[in-house]
Amino acid sequence: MRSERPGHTLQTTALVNEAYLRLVDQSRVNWQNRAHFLGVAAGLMRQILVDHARRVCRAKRGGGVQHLPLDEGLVYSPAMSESLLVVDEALSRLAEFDARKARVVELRYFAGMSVEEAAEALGVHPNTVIHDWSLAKAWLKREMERSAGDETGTVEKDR
Amino acid sequence: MKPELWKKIDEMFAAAQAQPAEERAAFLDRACGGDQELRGEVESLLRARGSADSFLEHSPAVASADQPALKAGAKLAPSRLWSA
Repeated sequence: MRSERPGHTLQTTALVNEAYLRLVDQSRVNWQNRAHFLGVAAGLMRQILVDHARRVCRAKRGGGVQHLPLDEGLVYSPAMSESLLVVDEALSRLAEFDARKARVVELRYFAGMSVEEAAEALGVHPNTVIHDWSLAKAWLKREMERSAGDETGTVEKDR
Repeated sequence: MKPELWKKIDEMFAAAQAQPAEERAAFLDRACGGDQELRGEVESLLRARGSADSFLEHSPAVASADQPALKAGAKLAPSRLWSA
């Protein structure tokens, strides 16, 4: 995976462009269908957003003046970056025992897909996505509240 | 999370959500039998779900007008306006 350009913005278009560039890098992928493509693209978008959030948090912890383009600052405040990383961690724990629900969250939250788009990407009925999304949100919310209340937890707090 | 327990939670959560809110407790009494672990899990997840309506609904992938860029009172560094 090539290193990222510094200071890129993460408006939707830029994110899609970035995901596209990474997809093109994966020239050996043998695409099965549109759903397969959407699934891989969503995973890459999650990766890009998480990488970016880590950089924003590092810049914040490093102190000093951050030089971020104005539009980037809007979409990506340090607080938003921290919560995105917490969601990412909790989601990895969910994936350990329910991979499909974790995928639904990846598609809906990290890739911004609608219920119908996520259903297509997973090859399931939209009602399945609605149920998975509902239970996954409940589990993640509870998990994140528990982590936040647990001083010895692995979630890094900076407030 | 044990897979057998999670499978039961998954089914019971869906069944309970299909009930009117005021009938869920009675439904869980009947449906969970004496399984206190299952009942506790489903109840706490239903509670978490109840406060999670807006949770994760704003994808970071979508830059939207309802994610205000600058909040009132935000301080901006001194800036220079260049002619267009």
